[in-house]
Amino acid sequence: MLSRIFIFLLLPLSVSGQPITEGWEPGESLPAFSDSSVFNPGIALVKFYQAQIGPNSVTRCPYYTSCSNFTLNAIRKYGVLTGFAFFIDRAWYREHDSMYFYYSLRVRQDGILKLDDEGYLTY
Amino acid sequence: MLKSVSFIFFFFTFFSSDLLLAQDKAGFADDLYKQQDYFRAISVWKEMKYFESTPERKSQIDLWIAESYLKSSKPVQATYHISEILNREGTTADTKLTAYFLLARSYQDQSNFIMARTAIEESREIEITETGFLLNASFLAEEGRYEEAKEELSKLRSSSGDSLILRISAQLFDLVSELLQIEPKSEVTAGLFSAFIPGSGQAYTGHWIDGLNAFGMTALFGFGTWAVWKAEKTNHEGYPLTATFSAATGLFYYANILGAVKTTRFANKRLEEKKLVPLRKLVSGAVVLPAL
Repeated sequence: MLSRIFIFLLLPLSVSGQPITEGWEPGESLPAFSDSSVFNPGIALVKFYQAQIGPNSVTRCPYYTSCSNFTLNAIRKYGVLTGFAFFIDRAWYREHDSMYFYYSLRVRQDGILKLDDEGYLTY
Repeated sequence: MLKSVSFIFFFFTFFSSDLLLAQDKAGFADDLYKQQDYFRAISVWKEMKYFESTPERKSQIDLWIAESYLKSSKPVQATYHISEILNREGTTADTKLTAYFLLARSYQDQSNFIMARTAIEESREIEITETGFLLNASFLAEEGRYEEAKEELSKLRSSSGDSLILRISAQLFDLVSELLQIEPKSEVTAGLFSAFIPGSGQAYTGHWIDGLNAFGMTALFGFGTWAVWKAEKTNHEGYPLTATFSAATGLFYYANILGAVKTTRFANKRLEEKKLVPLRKLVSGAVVLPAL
């Protein structure tokens, strides 16, 4: 039973979010993969949220790249497990009343002020 | 008589803006540039360039267009106009030299410091100038090679005769010295702290509330796992809820370590960036463009 639980816990590690961009041989062309061509449960979940739940929600993400887009980028870059961990870090650890001390403000294109944590994933 | 008067009246009403002399247009574009209305200034300069016949003058206008694109954070468009200058027959060496400096700055804006240094090397084939040394020092500073940047600047300070370059290099020297004094927090230490006590890595970086949140959430899920395990142990019906809770606890614990490392890296970068912004502004003032 314990080994089954262990394997279950390790399962998300096998799902990689890194897209293959280069062929095995030099110059080999690869078919272009998009989110729709390979099913990724994490991406599907976030896209479902963006289409159905987000627009009807009254709460808004205080950061510049919205929390759902941030999670999408994190999943694409690091895979489902780490991507979701990044979401927890942003939405549950870094979102509080004192966040204005740590992050600078940025004016979005539509004039709305947001907190700027650009580069958090890439640095 | 009436016909000719009305013709003159309508002609001046509708085409007066097109009758501006080239000199007036240059002044108008310059005014727009000073008001930071870069895109309108660019459109006036493009119009002037279209009707200009001498290649040197066209190149000088291109310099101003490229500078405006750089000021409006569009380095790729700036590079296009600079390449036009460098490939244009009949452009003087002085204008080409300035174009190389602008090219270096556009690569700097794109964080491509190898290409920026290559542009400076190319400019040295025309003439070795103090501005080139100054730009090179700023690229070294941006790459985090502060000691080398300081060395380059100290050479310049002792040899420079130009007061503007001297003034800028002195200010740049102070900024690089401040950058050297920054003591970045260690990401590994932050990660290890958070691995032992959840949230302590964030607190080590100075993000105390993040740390408290991380500690609270991990502790909450950890306690939940223990409570569920205790309940399922007495029921003797397997441990499905314990498995779910322990997976969630693991994920929150992992997010806490990841957050500590990334927060530290982000805070270090932001601290460095605060000093680099005035550095870039200083360097942009070192490249003097010819008046139109």
